[in-house]
Amino acid sequence: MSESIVEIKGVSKTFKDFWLRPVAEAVRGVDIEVEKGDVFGLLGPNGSGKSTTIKMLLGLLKPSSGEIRLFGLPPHDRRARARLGYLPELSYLHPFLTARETVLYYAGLSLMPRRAAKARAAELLATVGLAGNEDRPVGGFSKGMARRVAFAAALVAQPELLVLDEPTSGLDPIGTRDVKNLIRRLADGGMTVLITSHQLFDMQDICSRVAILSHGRVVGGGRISDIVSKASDKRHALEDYFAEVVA
Amino acid sequence: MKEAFILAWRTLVRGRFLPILLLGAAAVTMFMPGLIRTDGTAAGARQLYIHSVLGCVAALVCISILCASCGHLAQSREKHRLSLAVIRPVGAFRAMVGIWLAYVAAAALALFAMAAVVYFRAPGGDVPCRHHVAPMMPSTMSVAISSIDEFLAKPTTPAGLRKAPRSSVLAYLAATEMDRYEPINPGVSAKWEFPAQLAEASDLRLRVRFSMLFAARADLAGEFTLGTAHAVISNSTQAVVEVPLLRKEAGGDGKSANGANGVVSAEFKNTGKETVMLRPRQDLFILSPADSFGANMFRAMVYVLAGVALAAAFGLFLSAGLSRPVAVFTAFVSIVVIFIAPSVIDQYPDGAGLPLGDRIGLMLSRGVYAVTSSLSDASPIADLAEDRCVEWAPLVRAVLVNAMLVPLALLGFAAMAIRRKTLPDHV
Repeated sequence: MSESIVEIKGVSKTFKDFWLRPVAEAVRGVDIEVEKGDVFGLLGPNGSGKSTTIKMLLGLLKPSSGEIRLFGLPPHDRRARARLGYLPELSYLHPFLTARETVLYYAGLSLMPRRAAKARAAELLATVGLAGNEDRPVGGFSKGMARRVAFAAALVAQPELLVLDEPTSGLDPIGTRDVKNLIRRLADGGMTVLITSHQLFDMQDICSRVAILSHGRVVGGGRISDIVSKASDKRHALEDYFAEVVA
Repeated sequence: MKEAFILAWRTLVRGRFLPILLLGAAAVTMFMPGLIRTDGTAAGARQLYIHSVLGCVAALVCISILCASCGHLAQSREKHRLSLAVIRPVGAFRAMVGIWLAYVAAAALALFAMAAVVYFRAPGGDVPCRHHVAPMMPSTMSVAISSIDEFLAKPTTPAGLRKAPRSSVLAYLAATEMDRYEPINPGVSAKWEFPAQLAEASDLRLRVRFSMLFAARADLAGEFTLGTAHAVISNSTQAVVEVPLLRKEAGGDGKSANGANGVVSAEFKNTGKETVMLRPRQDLFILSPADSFGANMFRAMVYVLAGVALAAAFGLFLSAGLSRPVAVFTAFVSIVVIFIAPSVIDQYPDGAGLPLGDRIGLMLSRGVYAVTSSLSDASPIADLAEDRCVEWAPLVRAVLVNAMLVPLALLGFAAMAIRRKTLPDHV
């Protein structure tokens, strides 16, 4: 029996205003389970509750009801956070830090020893294609380069679960291919990956399982292999399935 | 903690906050002396130079650090950087302490660098500072407690005071005792007690300010004796008088003046023709040698740094839950509250009979005063300018309370708040 890395059970999230009146029900009774080694795609149109679900998973938002477990622990537990890497949709980096300092900063926040962090930073910056740019301030980087730095920062503490929010956003085709290859390599190495993206073609390429959210509910999902096997157009299988369940 | 410190320090340096702060402080230090008009005396010029330059530098550093710290976490939250940090296993409190230490280090750099410039440029050079020792007297409150019954029984006591709550009357009597004038008639001696170690000290000076009942400019004359030391005062008006206390020949009554209970008697004999008065708690000091100007400046700057450390922690605390403009506004309102709290407490020693809003205001003022009194009651830069020793005991208290205890508590609250408010409001 495979080990559950992420368990989201009956989770709902209602945003409230200052007077605690409900404003929007972003997530409604979502159940998702991500198993060890999965490359899990969380898909859905804009406003479907993907980002809210990810934020609850990261412990940045508290669910209104339901339960979330990360490695069997609550999301705010430090032991769970120590095993987690996160790449946000936009690369919110400190513009005054260089690429190397950025990666070392996040390594420090992950309580990595300095010497090990230095070696790991150099290795990761080379992996994401930033060799030679390690000592440039990230404030002067292009969007794609900043994305690569953020990717390296997410991976620095060698997480067991990597949460990627639109990982190929802002990348050129070569960068997108590199990221996809990197995700595949990480998954082959046993890392569990949870991805949200609108790039359904890419998701079909790299995910092993998906869940599709619409209006805060899980409206579809399953193994990519099953979705593809049932589709008439194998190349656009996920796209067709997505359109079908969301409609 | 180290990572948060390094990041905040780099942000302060590379974001040009610290270079601009240093430039501003240097400009004040260089150009302020040109704007000062002195009283023409060398001592006055020195006093004004130190007071105005270091006062302006301290104000500049404090306000800048407060404003920057008010925006630190708010900006990180708005730019979504906070969420990236708090999902890491490092504790929020440790990260807060790291950021706070970076602000304290930046403030220390600016303050001590400018203090070094003032040290070398101050007119008069390295003038040693002196302890200002006041007569040993019971506390004003204990005097008030011992005299309240008699005061209330007096027929001359105003009816309003008789009806007032006991605590209000006690506060009134304590304030009266602080300002109590002691009259000394011609040919009569007044006596006080000072700590016994003064009897053995050398190079003592007397600092005293007399007042007279009716004659504002009448001369006074008298002899002051402290153990075996004495000073003759003559032809002085009501200005502050500072004269050396010279040792008498061996023998005399020096030994008998040294009490067995750790005190030495002091006496002033009025040899003039007018009755003179002084407030023993405010107008009479024995000045004994302390240490160098440099050491005194160091202590004064540590005092100021304790205040800036509190301001930085308060700014971060506000920034944890509020946006930058709201945090800055709240910080400045709080500064006003800190400044007016002592006056409010003096004005309304008891809240009985006040409307609810005023009572809440009074409670707030008392709370603020309790936390900041070791800073708001102190005047380290004025003391430094007057070559008055910045004493270790209140300094240690200010550092412990204002640079450690209160900031750590504020940072603890900030760490709790940040967990709940990691994302900007529009998410």
